[in-house]
Amino acid sequence: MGFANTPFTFDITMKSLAAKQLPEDAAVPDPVSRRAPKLSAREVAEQGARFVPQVLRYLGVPEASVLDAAQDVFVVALRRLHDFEGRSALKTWLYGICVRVAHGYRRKSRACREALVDVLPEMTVPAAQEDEVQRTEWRRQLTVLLDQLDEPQRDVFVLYEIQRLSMKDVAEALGCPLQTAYSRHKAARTRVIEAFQCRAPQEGLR
Amino acid sequence: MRFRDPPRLSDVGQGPDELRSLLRHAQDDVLPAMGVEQLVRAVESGTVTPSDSVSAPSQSGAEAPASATGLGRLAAIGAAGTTAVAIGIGVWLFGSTNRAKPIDSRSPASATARSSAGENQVPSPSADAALRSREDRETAALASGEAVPAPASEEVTTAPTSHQESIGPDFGSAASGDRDLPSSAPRSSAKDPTSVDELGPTPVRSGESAQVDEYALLRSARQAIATNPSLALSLTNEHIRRFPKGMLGQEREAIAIEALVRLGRRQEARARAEQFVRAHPDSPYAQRIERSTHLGSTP
Repeated sequence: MGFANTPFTFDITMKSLAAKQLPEDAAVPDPVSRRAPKLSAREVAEQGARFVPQVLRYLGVPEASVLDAAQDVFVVALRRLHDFEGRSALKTWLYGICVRVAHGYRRKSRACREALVDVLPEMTVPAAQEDEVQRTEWRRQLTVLLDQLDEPQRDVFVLYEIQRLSMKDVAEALGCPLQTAYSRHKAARTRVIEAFQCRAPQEGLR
Repeated sequence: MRFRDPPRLSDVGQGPDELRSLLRHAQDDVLPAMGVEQLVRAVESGTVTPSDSVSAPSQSGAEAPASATGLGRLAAIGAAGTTAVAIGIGVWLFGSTNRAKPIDSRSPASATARSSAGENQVPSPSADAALRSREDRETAALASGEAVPAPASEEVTTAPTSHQESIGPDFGSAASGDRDLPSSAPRSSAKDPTSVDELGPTPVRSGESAQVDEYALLRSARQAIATNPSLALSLTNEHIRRFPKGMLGQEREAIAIEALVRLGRRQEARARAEQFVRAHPDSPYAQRIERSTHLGSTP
């Protein structure tokens, strides 16, 4: 159980990333990984750019950091591209990186408590941008529910319910056994529904 | 051992309706096309090797895969022409969070972490200055809520006026936001850039202005879907006419199909959706389109 059988590992922490203390040998492709696909930076980014910010947001990265975190995901991905074994789809692999980067950002934002209210300033968008206001509100409502979940549950829930990955891909991205993914999802689902029913009645959605 | 995936809460019949709606909005909450392009460029230009960026610290970029070098160099060249508009639009797009800040200066930490990216993002002082002045104008226009007079293009016949009338006061300022960009960036087809407003912007190259225009047009269309689907539809037709080979064709189809569904023209919507999914089976819009036609069939 847990992350023991992760198909790929990331030996760097977000701190080292930020400090740009990346190993010198990272540029040298590992000769062992013969199957590593030859992908350009653009190809990798194009595959992930649409959903990476989305998944980071719902995994709990503060809105103001979403694009920063997205770039971090690609920095890690390009640096570790030679680790990509081609066993899973590139997207699944990127999801795995997203989860790890998001954990780093969440820890960081937990360290400074005031970041927890980071959604509120979003409400100051120009009143005319109605769809933006609406979107912010949807995000906020869902985030409140997702915040009820613990980290592993949230990971599974976001990948399965929002990103609509198959359970097999969820397990692969998270590096956990399939059965674990199922049980986390079940628990998360119950908890989200409970939280939804307990929340104060709000203005209806459109 | 084989398990069947459990039903998803966002599927019909699972969980409370409002929760399902929230989840579906979240599923659609992907980065819009222009943001994608901007992010891709930022990533790409962050992978330039030290020899490409003269003043970068020797270490930066060393981790880039060798295969990225050529593209990185390309990006550095291309960036000179396109960064201004890309960042300008990005700022506009992510308005709520980062209205006045380009992507590479969002936080000090990220700026240092990606110094090489930053250097490539700012290709030349003049381009940078152009960018800044344009951003300022946009921000100012948005802040004042004032419509910057837009030159009425000969090509645009009915759409803009009907837009203005039917969107009404609620969208008044959004509409001005839509129009101030095209006005500061003359359309590629506009023959006379001197007709541009009193703010006296430096004319932007036609390729960029076309992109801005294209995006602005679809943004108006997207905003109109809920309140005025027929307007949204006519704006997408306008897009087909003006940008037959535009870069946002998929976005346009998604909007058009949703508008058709809302107008009750389900047959057309379905036919168009099928055509879309056939042409772009892997498109991120495919799911959204399928869903909107499906929702339309079960009111």
